[in-house]
Amino acid sequence: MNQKNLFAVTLIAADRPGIVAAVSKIFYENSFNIEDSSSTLLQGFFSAIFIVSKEGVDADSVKKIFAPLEKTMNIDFNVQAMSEAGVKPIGEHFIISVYGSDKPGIVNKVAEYLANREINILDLQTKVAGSEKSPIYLMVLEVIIDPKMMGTGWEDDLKKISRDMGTDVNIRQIETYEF
Amino acid sequence: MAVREVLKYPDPRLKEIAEDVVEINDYIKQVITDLSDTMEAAGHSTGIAATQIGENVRIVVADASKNSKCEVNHGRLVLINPEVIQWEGMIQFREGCMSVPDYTGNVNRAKKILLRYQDENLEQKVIEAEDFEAVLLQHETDHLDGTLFLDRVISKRTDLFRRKKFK
Repeated sequence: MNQKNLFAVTLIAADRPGIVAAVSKIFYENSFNIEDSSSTLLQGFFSAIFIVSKEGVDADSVKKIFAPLEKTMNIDFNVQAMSEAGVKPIGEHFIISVYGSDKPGIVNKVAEYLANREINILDLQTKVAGSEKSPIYLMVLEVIIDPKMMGTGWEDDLKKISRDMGTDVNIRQIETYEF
Repeated sequence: MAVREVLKYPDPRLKEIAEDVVEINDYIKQVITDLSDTMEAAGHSTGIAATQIGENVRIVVADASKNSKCEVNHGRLVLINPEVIQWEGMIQFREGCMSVPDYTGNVNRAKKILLRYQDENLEQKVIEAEDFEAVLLQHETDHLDGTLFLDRVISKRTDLFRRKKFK
């Protein structure tokens, strides 16, 4: 095995200082490259995904490298070998915010519509905010609209879905310029 | 006529602070020509700073009219010793840069600016630019101070949930 192998190393742990330092130390000392990563705090849990690469190893051996850290920091690591990535979608980027009083099905109704129209979700964040008495649900999505989808009324469809749910929706295009 | 190589980060010359232009000589004329040629050759490019072709002088060539969505603009501009002297409002764009390939990030910029500069005869001028053109001119002027959009990226992701508490 000499080819460059990609692995997804994921963890969710009660938040405290030092998690990234401990994880990246292991990557560094074992000659892994961090190719891509994203981490955020969810309900007090630090949640991280690292896409790393190294030649000549498999998922089991990567998992073993993390065994000491699992013990000392009481963190569960998940290691997954990555197969070939999907085709990177091309098109215009839009931000969709849907928000309103908390009720079941907000994420699902929007996501199902997008799936039916074959619209790719690039980023999704949800949060419950507001007070305990009247919680507000917020969802922010970044989607990619294929050029052939432009002007087909997807925005109006989403506005109707939102109206039916009793939520508010805002759709705006992200302008990207290379200077 | 010379299309020059556009320097790519981490070339250290991109982080240098460019020198003021004090006279229009053959060298300065050549830099202006090269900037124009390089910008045109890049096709989609709407602006370029001398720093990006490795010339340490305060010159920018920009043309916001090359963006078909930008309706109000000053057309092709040669900006010598440009300086933003007034800022107003805020606008967010997702920026990329010829000197930082394959990466874009959200940047906050002033929506409207007053830019003081000297033209190709070193005559002092002041223009007001808005929206796309304002962002373009801020981006290019930044290059002359060794500042890349990477120094100003606020977030790759949406910022809705960042909560600030003011006490």
